[in-house]
Amino acid sequence: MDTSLFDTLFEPVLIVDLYSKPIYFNNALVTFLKKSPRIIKKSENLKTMFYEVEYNFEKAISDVQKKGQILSEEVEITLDEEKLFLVFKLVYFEDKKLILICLNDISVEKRLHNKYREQIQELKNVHDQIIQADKLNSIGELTAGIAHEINNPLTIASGNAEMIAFSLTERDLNTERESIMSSSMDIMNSLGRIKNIINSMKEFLYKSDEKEYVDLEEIIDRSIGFMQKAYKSDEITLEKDVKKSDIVCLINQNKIEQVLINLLQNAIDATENVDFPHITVELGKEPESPFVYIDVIDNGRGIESGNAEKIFETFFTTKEIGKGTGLGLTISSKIIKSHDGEITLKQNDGKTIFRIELPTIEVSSFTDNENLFQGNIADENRILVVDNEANILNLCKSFFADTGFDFIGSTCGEDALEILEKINVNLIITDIKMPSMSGTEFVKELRSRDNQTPVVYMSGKDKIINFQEDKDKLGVKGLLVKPFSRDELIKIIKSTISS
Amino acid sequence: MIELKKQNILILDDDKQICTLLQNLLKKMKGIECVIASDPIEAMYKIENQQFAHLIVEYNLKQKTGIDFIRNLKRIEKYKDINYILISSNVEKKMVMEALQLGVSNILVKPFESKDLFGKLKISL
Repeated sequence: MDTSLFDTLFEPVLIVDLYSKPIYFNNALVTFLKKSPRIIKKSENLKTMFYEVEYNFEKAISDVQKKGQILSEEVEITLDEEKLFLVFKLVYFEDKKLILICLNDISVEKRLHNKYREQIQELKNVHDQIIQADKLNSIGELTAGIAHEINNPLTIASGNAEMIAFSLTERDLNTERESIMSSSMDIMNSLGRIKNIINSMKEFLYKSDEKEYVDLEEIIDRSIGFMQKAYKSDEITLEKDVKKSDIVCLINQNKIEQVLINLLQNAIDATENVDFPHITVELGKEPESPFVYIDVIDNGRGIESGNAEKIFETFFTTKEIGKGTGLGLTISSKIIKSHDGEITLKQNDGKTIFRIELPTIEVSSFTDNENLFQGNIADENRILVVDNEANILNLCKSFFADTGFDFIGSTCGEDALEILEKINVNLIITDIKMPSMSGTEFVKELRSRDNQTPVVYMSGKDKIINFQEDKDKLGVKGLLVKPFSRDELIKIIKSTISS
Repeated sequence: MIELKKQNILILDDDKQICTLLQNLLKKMKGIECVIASDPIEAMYKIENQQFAHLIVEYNLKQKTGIDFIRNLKRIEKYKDINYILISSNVEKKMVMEALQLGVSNILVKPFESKDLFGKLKISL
């Protein structure tokens, strides 16, 4: 075999026989291994030559004879305290019963790759920090308003406490009774006001990625409540226009609130120095569209047509230095995209409209079950759902449409037991955490009345333990973890009924 | 027995509950008559019809700031010597600077105790 060509190569190359004994190696290998040629020549086989390397050479030698050519995974080797990464390429020459081994030093690429990965990770961290910072920034913009909102009721509470103290120094307490009563009422109301503000702030800042079924109108109300101080002082009229109510979406409440607050803040900024500033938040659904929309409409300065394209870009802002970060809309659009929705801008008739579109679940309104007691419904496939939240019942009801299952809803265990006295059902799905009678109590009572209808629990992840406890004791057949999809619901119903 | 000179106080705040509270607290002091107003126009009307020794004004009013209101009053000679007290739930540098330029040094930050308020009214308990 003519090996003179290999000697000119920069890459380390060697040839071994079928027992992996080196027959030939080129100069590049000597330089690479930093060992004398004499020592290399003395090597019995590949294992002794590359004793630093963890690689199964025996298996490689036998594999290459079957496949003709193989490429190793990357292996680590430490030479002169320098860590290197290698890939072996083995080629089998059947006629000569020899194996050619090429070494590829991928250390440089590997190091670059690691560095690149670290940088990407760093970027991701910074990105998260920016999102959090923007949240804090919008909180910062709101602090003045919030301080006012908190300190006013606080003044009322502490002042009335003093009033009570004054009253108690009077000789005849009976004449002061009324004043003390009204003061203590004022104190309680004020503390309630403060509690609500703190709660909504905490919920806003709490970094949670969980999605829940939420009525969009609630979110709009809360966001508007948040901004109240800002628009009150600027004499802006803010109006909520609900074209369609009972719209429930699977969303992360805090994030959608962050988006709405951001859009409202922008609208307030845009209507500065405008005559009769007016902002409308509209909630509705276009016919035939699988999306619901929330429009934030203002009659402010508007956006120059040249800028309309750029407003969703990172760091683009038309606000004064120090007032905007240029991130609000970028983050808002990211959040909406993560909900499979879209945020768009439209301008006409002097109105600026930011539209949030979100995929929805059409919810029919949960109504009384009276019609069910009048009969006319087949006895099969009747399912009773017990949950204190009407939203969940509405959702289940709409999930049941066109499934062949009949839905009966009940908002508490007591009512459900009454319903079960009158009619039979095939399956009961019950929430665990309910205010008056818990799911466990409900099923216990049910079983004591000798009713063996199969039961499935429906609850958050934190209640899995309850399910495990009651599974055998009360014959609970399954657990539906909230939030659940239509398919999950149907699947668990079908599997429970058929078993 | 020394008769205390009767002192009239006007309170201007758009939060009615704050007005009523301050009124109730000040009622405890003898020789004080308290009048409340929930917006600058109402306040202006009352000032024109009655003489006040003290004016308690909230900074964060809906239409304008309490300082704007005081500034307008101070331009008129006969209102110059009223004891102005500014109340606010939020200390902002801008507000303090403006108040000091106007010669208003009585600033009360909510929440405050009645003795702070009485102190500013220079009424000894």
